Amino acid sequence: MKRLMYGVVVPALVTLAVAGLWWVLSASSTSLFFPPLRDILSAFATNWLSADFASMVLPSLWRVGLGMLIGIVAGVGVGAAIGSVRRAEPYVKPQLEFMRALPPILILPPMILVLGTGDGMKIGVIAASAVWPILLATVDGVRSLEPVRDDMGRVFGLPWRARFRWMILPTAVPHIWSGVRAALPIAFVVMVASEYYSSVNGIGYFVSQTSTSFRLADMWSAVVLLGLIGVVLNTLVAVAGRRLDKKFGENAHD
Amino acid sequence: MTETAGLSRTSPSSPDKDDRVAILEVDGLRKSYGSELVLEDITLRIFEGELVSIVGPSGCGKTTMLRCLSGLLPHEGGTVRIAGEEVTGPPDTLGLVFQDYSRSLLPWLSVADNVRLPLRYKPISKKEAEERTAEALESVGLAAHTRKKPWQLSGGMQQRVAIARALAYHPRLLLMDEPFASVDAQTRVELEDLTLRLWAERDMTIAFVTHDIDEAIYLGGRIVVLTRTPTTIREVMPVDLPRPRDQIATKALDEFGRLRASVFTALGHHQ
Ligand SMILES: Nc1ncnc2c1ncn2[C@@H]1O[C@H](COP(=O)(O)OP(=O)(O)OP(=O)(O)O)[C@@H](O)[C@H]1O
Ligand SMILES: [Mg+2]
Repeated sequence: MKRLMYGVVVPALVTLAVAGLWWVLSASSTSLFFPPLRDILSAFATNWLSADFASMVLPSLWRVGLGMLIGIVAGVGVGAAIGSVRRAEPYVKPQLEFMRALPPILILPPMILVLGTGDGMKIGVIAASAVWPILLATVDGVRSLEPVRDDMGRVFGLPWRARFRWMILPTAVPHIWSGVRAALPIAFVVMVASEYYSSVNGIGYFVSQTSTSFRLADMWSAVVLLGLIGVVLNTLVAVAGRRLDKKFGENAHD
Repeated sequence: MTETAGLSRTSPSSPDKDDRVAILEVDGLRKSYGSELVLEDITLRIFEGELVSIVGPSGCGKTTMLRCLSGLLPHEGGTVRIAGEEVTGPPDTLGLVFQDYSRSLLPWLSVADNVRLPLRYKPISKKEAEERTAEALESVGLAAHTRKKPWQLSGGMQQRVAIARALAYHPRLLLMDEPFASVDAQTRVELEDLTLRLWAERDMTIAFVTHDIDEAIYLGGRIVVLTRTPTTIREVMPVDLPRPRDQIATKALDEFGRLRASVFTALGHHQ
């Protein structure tokens, strides 16, 4: 009861209050840049609760989804390999940290030169930005295997694949997942930016089109949509993370 | 078996006059961590069917020694042979019960799956793996808890799972590293008697490491007393207490008290 109250009811009320405040304060706005919320919401309805949703939003989701998937597969694969070779760490860790520290947007112009402006470029840039936090988290996760457990696997003659499947992977999963959570917002930003630069569809394209032609209510409606999609995806990732923690996490148990 | 000349520098050339078969032969074992010498010279025989207790002060390198004996840790001097074979990695005739037993179990697998896991990669049939798992869990008294996760069990029960896992592996030599150091007194007594029963029932040699003197005497047929680091063997004492042993009757014997005093003295305590 109390959980429902503080987990759902209170946040919902606060959100409503903020939206209400926005509504009231912006109701008589004549500013070109900050149109009334009423206009934004009606733009939201015409733009997104219509057939445009499929042509504008689905390409963006598809790019983020595929980019993240490639990032996860590459990050986990390479991260697990680096993590298992203890001696490799001092040589590769500085380079990995360097790659992670680069602002993802920075690699956009060279990637456009190399890969052109098609979907391949966008998905490639998203994957190339999302891969670093996942890769580094995987290295840490594989490293965090308890030494006793490693001994156990060796004493009982578990072959490498069995140790990977039954000991390393479950230990690493919660770490990997926190990497995925960190990568998701980055992938989002890069998706919007890559579409902003050059595209024929997608949310970023829509924002760039509407803002350069001063259709600000439309632009803001896209911002609201991005926020909502972000909340939904983050919630999904968090819920999946909790389930994984229940299955693999040890701290929940001892 | 071929003897590699030159390697067995420290091994005695005269054959043991004892006609028992040594399952574990350690000669001049030496190990340091960096510049810190932990094991200086361990020379020891354990014979088939024995239950030998190994006592030593806290931090004297008991775990280090077991890890060297089991081939988990490379040593820098001397030789270790198990069942006649020089140890270079963990041999499949060896089982180990870890000091940190709860961490040695996998929390994402059920009790039965923890016990079965090593068997899946042995050249035995699925059916046999199944039977060995059930038998081992039965013999440690966990038949009713096979589907639970280890963290749903008490410390003593978790230790039984770790023992069952080693038993199901059918080792000829079982090394136990302070297995009961972190359970309560009542559970400890039960697990000691369980160990004695399993040892009597099975064709298995046990080396039991502990820093509890009474436990060492109660279980062992011989007691190996270690020194502080850099560690050597201080003394090996035979235990002339009748078997089967009994927690009350055996511990009330004069001989038990005498042994306790000798081990105490050997460990460097002075009354
Ligand atoms: N991996 C390691 N690296 C460096 N030093 C170590 C390592 N493991 C153990 N030591 C040191 O070696 C010595 C012996 O440790 P070990 O754990 O073998 O002792 P022990 O007799 O098993 O102790 P306990 O009774 O607490 O279980 C200790 O001084 C310890 O600090
Ligand atoms: Mg120890």
